[in-house]
Amino acid sequence: MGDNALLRSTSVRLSLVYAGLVIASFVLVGLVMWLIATHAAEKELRQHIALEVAAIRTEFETEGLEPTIAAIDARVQHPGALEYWFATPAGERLAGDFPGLAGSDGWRRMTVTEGTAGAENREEMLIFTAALPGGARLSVGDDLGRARAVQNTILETLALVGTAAVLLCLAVGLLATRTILSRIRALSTTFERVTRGDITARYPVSGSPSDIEQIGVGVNRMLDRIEELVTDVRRVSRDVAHDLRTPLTHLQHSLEQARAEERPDERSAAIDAANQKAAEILRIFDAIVRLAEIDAGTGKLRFADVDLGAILDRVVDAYRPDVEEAGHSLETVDLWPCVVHGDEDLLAQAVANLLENAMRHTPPGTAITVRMLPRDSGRGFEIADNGPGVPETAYGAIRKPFLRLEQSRTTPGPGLGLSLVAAIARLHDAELHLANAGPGLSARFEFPRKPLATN
Amino acid sequence: MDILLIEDDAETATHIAEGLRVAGHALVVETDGMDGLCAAQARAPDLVIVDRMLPGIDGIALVKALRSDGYKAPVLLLTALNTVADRVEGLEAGADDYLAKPFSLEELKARIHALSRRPPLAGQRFEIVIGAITIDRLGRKVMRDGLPIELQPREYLLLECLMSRAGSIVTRTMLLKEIWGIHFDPGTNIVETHICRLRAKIDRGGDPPLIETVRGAGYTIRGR
Repeated sequence: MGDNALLRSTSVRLSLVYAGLVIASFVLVGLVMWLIATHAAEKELRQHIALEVAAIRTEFETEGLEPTIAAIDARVQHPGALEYWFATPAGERLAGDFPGLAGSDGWRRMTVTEGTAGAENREEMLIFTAALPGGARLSVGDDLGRARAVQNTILETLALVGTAAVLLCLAVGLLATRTILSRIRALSTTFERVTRGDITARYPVSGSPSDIEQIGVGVNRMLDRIEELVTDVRRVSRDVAHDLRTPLTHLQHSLEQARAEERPDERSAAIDAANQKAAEILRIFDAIVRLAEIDAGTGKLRFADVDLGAILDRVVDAYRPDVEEAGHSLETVDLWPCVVHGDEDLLAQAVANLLENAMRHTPPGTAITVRMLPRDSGRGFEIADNGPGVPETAYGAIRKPFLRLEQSRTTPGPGLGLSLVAAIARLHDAELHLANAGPGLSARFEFPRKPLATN
Repeated sequence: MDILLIEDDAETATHIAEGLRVAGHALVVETDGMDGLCAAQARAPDLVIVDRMLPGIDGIALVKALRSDGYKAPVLLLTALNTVADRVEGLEAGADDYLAKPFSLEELKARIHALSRRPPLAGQRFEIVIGAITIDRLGRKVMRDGLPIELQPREYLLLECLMSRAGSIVTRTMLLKEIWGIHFDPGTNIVETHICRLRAKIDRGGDPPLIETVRGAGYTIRGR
C-alpha cells in the first residue's frame, strides 16, 4: 500500500510536475543558447573571411599578381587555414586548392559532401567571392563545423546538467513525500482512533515547523476542547441523574405518604410537599434548557437598552423579605441608572441567581451586599457576602453546571445557579469575576468597558 | 365561557377539558391543527387554547392564520418549550398569553380568567374598596377604616394587583411577572414572603385575612 500511497500522494505529483518544468526550461534555455551561439560563430567566421579577402585584395593591388599567388599558396599550407580558390576570369586556377568554391560574387552558402560514398560527411560552408582588378576572382570560405562544435558542447552540457537537476528534483520530492506521508499517516491514525471512540488520542507532535505539524497542533487543541466538552457532558448527565434522583425520590415519598395518610389536613400537606418537589424538578429542567438556550447564543435577538440599576432594585426588592426571613441582611449600595445593552430577563435572572447563591450557601447572620460599579469605573454590579467563602482553587469549577462543592452538597438546590450566571455573562460579553471578599465570596458581573456596536 | 382547545395529546386534552368543564366552561376539543383552525373559524369561540406543536399545522401558524382572519378573542398558547425566544415568537404571532407545560390546572384557570377580563384598563376605577381597606389608585394610598397605612411601593402594587382583580385568582407566576418583572421561577418563596409581610400590614387582628391563599394556585381577594 506504501507505493500506491506514494504515487497517489500530492507531493509526488508535485515533484513530477517540477521535474517536467525543469526539463522544459532546460530545453528552452538550450534552444536560445544554441541560436545565440550559432549566430555568434557565423558572425565571427564572416569577419574572418572578410578580413582575409581584404588582405589579399590589398596584396594584389600593391604587389601584383605573382606575390599574391605565392601568398595564397603559403596560406593554404598553413594548418587550420581557410579554403581558397583564386582563378582567372575564365576560371583557370591561379592559386588555392578548392575549385568548388567558385561561384557568383558576394556571400554564399554551400553544402559540400566529403569522403567516400557510404561514409559521407556533409558540411555546410560559408563562402565569399570577390572580383579583383583585372577580372581575377577570389573565393574564400570555410565550413561551419566549428560553430556546430560549440553548439554540440552547449547541448551536451545542458543535457548533463538538466538530467542531474531532474534527478535531484525527483529525489528531493520523494524524500519530502515520505516525510510528509509519515506525518499525514500519523494524523489519520489519530483521526481513526478518535472516530473509534478513543477521545484521548493525540497527534504525536515532533516539533518541526512544517504546515502539517501546525495542523497537527491545531487538531490536538481541538481534540482537547472536544474532550473537555465530552467530559462535561458525561459529568453533567451523571449529575443531572443525581440531582434529579434526589427530588424524584422525595416526590415519591411525599406521594406515598399522601396515600397512606388518613387525616385530610395531613394528606393535603403531603400533596403540597409533593407539588413542591415536582416544581423543583421542573426548575432544574428549566435551568438546563435555559443554559442550553443561552449557550446557543440565540438570546442576543432580544437585546435592548435596559437600566441595570432598575433591574437590581426590582430583583433585590423581590428577594429582600426572603433573604431577611432566612436570617441574613441585605443591603444595596450605589444603585444608579446605568444603561446597558442586554436581555432584561436574563440579567434579572443573573442577579437573582447570585442572590440565591449568597443566601443558600451561607449561614444565618451573613450580610449580603449588592453594589453597582461606580460611574467612573465601568458598568456592572457586585454581590458579596461575608460568609465562609469558597476556596480560590474552586472558582473555575463552581461555574460549571451542576458542580457544587462537597460542603454545599448538603444545602438544597442544584448547582446550576452560577453556571447560568456565567453563561449570561458570556452572552453579554461581560465578565464574571469571583473573588475573596475577605471573608466571604464576591461575584462581580462586569460589562465590557467600551460599549459594543449595538446595531 | 365557550372554549376551543386544540391539543394533540389525548391525556393532556382530557385533563384540561375535564378541569375546565368542572369550572363551568363549555369545551370543544380538536386534536389536529387544520381541524382546529376550521373549528375556530366556524364556531368563533370566546377563547382558544392552542398547543404549540400540532399535527397538520403548528400552533404559531394557526394563531397567525386566526389573527389574519380577524379573530379578536384571546388566544392562549401551550408549549413544552419554555425558552425566551419561543415565548417571544408565540406572543408576536398574536397569542395573548403563553403557558409552559407542565402547568397546574389552577394556573391555567387563573390565566383564562385574567384573559377573559381583558382589556384591564376598561372599567378601571380610581378607588377600590373591599371590606375595611380602600386604595386610592391616583395617590397610591391605602387606608383601613380611613386611617392611612404605609406600604412600600411594590407592596402597594401587590395589593392593587390583587384588589383590582378581586374575585379571581392571581397566581404566583402572574405576580412575579407583573410586580417584579421576573419571568423565571425563582427557587425560593419570594411571593409568599411578600404576601406574608403585606398581610401583616393590612390585616387587623381578629378579622379574617383579606388576602386568601388558594392552595396550589395563588392568591385571591374575595368580594367587593
